[in-house]
Amino acid sequence: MNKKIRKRKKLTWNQKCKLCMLPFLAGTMLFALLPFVRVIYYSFLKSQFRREFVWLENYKRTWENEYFQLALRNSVLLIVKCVPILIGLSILISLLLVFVLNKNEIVRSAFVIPMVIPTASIVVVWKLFFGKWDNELPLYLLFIWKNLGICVILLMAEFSSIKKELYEAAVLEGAPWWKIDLGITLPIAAPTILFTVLLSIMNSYKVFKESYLYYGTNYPPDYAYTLQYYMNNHFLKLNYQNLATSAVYTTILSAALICIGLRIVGRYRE
Amino acid sequence: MKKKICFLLIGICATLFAFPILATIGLAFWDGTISLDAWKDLLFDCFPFYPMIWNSVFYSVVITVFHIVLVVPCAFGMITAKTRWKEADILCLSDSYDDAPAGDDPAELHRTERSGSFKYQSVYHTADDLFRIWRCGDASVYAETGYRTDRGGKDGDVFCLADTFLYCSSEYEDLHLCSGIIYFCGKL
Repeated sequence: MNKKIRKRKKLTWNQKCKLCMLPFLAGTMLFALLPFVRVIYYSFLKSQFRREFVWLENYKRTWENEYFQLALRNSVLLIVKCVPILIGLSILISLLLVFVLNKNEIVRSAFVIPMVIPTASIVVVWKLFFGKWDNELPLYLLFIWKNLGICVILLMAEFSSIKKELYEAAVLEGAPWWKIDLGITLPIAAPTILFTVLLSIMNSYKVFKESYLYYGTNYPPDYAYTLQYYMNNHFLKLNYQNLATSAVYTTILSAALICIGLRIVGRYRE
Repeated sequence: MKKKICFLLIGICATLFAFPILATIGLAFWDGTISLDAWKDLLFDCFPFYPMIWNSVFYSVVITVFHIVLVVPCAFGMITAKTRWKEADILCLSDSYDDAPAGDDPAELHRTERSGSFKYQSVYHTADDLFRIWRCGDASVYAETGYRTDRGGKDGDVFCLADTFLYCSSEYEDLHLCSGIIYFCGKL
């Protein structure tokens, strides 16, 4: 009697782990990649009514648009000015919290709470104190205030994991504290610091909500007009082609930054 | 002495960071003089406020349970699986434009601050293709109606699907962030 013996193929440990990540990947596909393909498709069309391919014409028109240039410049300025301050402050606070204050919970909470408080409730206080300031500083401060918590959490986790033996050996050698931090802590934590930089850059694109609530209009002063405003205004005008094109431009910029960052992180890991 | 200086510096910094929150709490009790009038108005007189509270409670509970159930295996998989692109995946959704399409009224945005984006608008069309819910037959009308739906208006059951999709995708970003944090802490 010939029996077909079915051999059930057992999944390896790594395959099981990847299976756990399946919801993650499915979500990325469904909520990020699929819609983005649609956005690219729109960027090549003349209009949503006449589905005629115009290829790069929309890209050329958007690039020459003075408001797009203004928005792009402001968004880049936000990254260039705020992200270094945010990261520097996060590193300093995390170092002090981990190595000097033994992760004091009250102090730690003060930095983390802004992350969980709705922006709308804070904007009232912001307007009260910075209402008369006619520059971009209130917005920059709001961005740093809101995003410091997540950076501190990530960096504290990394700093806590560094082996104490390394520090003990350095102290025995008579190294001063700043040399210990520059020579041991920062190089070991470099991949996480870089990741924090990337995350902050991505978060800088999301400052629109805070900005909109603060200025209360679709057309804020020129210094606060970022890419999100540009896209939002075109969304309201149903100008999908311009919107899609600027979204693609922004994504290219972000993707380039992510690729460079991840490559540097990868090199550090090796 | 060094420790005291450090504590003082970081204490000042922490106070500055906590100050806006403390000031917000203070404003809730300040109406020219110290009073509970604002609370009384909100809790006893403002009837439209009650459904919002219960909606928020329901939303928070469902999302928290959903996060816990999904995030633990996902983060575990990320920590243990040998793949090269895990961190790219965490960053992938951080790059999205998850803010609401702004209306004329900031208070309106307050209520729906986590909803709406062009990306999801695009998904509406995909969902529309899939579930054949395109009833308006015109992209612009559909977009306008979708936009109204984002801002709290309900135009019938047909848009509930898109609405659900919107909220799922919005929360999915937080899910990514949670998994990312657990992933980084779990590596320790």
